Amino acid sequence: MPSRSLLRWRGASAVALDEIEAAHTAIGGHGRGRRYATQQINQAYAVMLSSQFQRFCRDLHSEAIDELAAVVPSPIVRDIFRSQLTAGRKLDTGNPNPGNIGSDFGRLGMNFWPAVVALSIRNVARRSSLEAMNRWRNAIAHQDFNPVQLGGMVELRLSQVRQWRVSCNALAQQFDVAVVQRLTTILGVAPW
Amino acid sequence: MSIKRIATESQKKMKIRVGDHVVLHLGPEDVIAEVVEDRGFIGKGGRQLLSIRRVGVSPELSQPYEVPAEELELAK
Repeated sequence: MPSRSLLRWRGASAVALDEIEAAHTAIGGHGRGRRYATQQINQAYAVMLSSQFQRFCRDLHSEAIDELAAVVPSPIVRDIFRSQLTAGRKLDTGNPNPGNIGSDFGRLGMNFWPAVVALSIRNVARRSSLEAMNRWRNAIAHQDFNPVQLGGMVELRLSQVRQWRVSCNALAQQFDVAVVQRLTTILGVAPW
Repeated sequence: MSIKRIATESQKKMKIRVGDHVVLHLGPEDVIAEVVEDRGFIGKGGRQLLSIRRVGVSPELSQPYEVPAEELELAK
């Protein structure tokens, strides 16, 4: 059974992302005007994809911590445990880049990326895809399109955002599995 | 069941919203906090998680963290 976080990613988040993709398709016209409009939509789509994936990662982290905290009987110890594991998370304010994700899930006492890569070697390429997506997110947020940082591109194609989305979909499922494995080791039973 | 008991149960069931002040009972002490974010029904068994920030404490202790809504009571 998937986590609630993964269900939300596949549900509400997917719907929101589908809507912005539909907006791209709905743009009429020809030539430069259309290209300018679709470029804005592609950028919005990339930022939304990154933010939705950030929420998924935060949700999965929160869900995991709540599963662990539930087995701590003392209210005051449980409170210390919760505050130490959720306060000041990088994903609360930062991009869902591999470093921030690895750092926050590392609080569970796991080597996060090695655990994810152990599930599938394809996760190495997906992690690179995640890095590229977040470089674009920063470029869009700061309106600073440095081709050196963006793989030689200054325009974002819909096909590129779609490819990132495929990677995010796969990583979401793989993160879920890696966290289940970690929690099962700690708790002795699968959490969900 | 006494009126006081009914009132307490009713208060516990009141929906807690972002911006509300709440009490977290920690055995030997009660903590007053402000709800800063509704994280949704993603906790154990689908329970609601809220992000809270302690009030009246030093900055080091006032970083938001998450607790299940069922462990909180609206502050009077």
